[in-house]
Amino acid sequence: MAKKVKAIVKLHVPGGQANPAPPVGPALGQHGVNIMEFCKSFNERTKDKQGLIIPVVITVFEDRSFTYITKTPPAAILLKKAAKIAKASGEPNRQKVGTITRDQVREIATTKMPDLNAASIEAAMSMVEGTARSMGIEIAG
Amino acid sequence: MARDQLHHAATEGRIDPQCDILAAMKKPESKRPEKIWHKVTVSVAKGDAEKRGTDPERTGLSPMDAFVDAVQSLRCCGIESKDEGGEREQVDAYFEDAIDPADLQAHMELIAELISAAGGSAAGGRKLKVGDIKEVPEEDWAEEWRRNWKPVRVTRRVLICPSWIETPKKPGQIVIYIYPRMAFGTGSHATTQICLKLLELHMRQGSRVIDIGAGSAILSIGAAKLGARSVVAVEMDEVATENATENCKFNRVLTKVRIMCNRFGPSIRGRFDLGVCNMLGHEMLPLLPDITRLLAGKALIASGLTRESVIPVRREMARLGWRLDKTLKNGEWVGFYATHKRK
Repeated sequence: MAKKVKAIVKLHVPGGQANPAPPVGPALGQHGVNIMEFCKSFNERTKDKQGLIIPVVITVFEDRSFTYITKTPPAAILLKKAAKIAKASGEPNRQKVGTITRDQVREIATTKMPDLNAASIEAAMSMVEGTARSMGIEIAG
Repeated sequence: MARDQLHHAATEGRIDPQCDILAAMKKPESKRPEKIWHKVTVSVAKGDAEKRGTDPERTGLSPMDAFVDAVQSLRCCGIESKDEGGEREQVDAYFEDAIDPADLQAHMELIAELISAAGGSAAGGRKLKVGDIKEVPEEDWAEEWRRNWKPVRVTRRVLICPSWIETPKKPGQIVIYIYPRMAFGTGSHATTQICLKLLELHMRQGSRVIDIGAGSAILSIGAAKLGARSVVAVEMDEVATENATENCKFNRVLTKVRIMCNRFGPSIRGRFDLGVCNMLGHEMLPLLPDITRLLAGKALIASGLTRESVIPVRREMARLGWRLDKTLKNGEWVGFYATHKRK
């Protein structure tokens, strides 16, 4: 029998660095979740993304057990990191703020693939390119 | 609440009244300065950049993404978002005390302005509303969980029990009492249970044990109660070692268990027959040479590993002369008992 859901908690936590402090402590503590168990599991799963803010959705059940899914960091954040720019362009059509290569687009598309509604890597790449354009980032090659 | 229950149990004489539980329980709090976080509440229009597809007119940063991106550079320690119903989401962003609240307010207003200005009509209503900055003092957030924590039976013989619950002890049974705080090792995690099972199966009576990354000292207490002669519990986190001390006191094993607040490394010396190490794979890997130095020709129980992270650990251990004799699995977690052969 399916377990009854008590709450759904949406957090953004730096990868590999969850600890019982806010926001994890208060958000999960109020639902009676074993905070340390979540931290341990989350840090293991996101150890490759140290410090990058990772969206995570935690489902808490009536018996205080939980499951969670981590999502990939927003494409815009990955793009800014790849282009080594501090912020996106205010006027993306006229003012370009950075350049990335096709390979970097492919890499970001591969990272984002699980969360994108894309049938192929090429479709995912065109989504990433769209985001890049809207930020004033040019694609070389 | 839990502490009151504990006090009640102690004064009634149900739990070892000789050990000064309350003094031990109060100690960590009085030593630690109270930490404060700043919480900024922001109201954000919903919208997910990725869901808008490939249409160049409609792609770009969603307000939430833009907000996450902006606060990341302010060393934000995390965000909680709640559905406000309708088109908006309430977002609580937490910052460490080091940032001056006045500066923070100014930064947030600026971020809100930038995000709103960049929005235009494409994403529709990107406006951000910045609320007040509130102080969030450190609390014991595990309280609610603790109140509902029940004893865990690990094997037929070994039971883990909250220190405020009285359990009738059956002959031959071993009860590990734990007062769970903010330290790893409360018994409910699969890896702790794997380690305790392996300890019961493989530890010889009278062994000298080293517990690497002891946390709440749950495995040290288990080893002591299962017949170890002595246990050295190494833990680098100060808060955890305080919890380890109170748990050992409570279980009356402080004569056997020595707790060291230290980073595990070349400075750790001694003669041991068995090591226990329950930590994540990427944390364990760099410690393996020192573990091997201390336990040459002896044995190791290790867990904290997932089906994936066990692979590099196993490879490195084989290189260092270890043989895996027994592997236990529980869900995504793996643990093993290994013996070392001197070259």
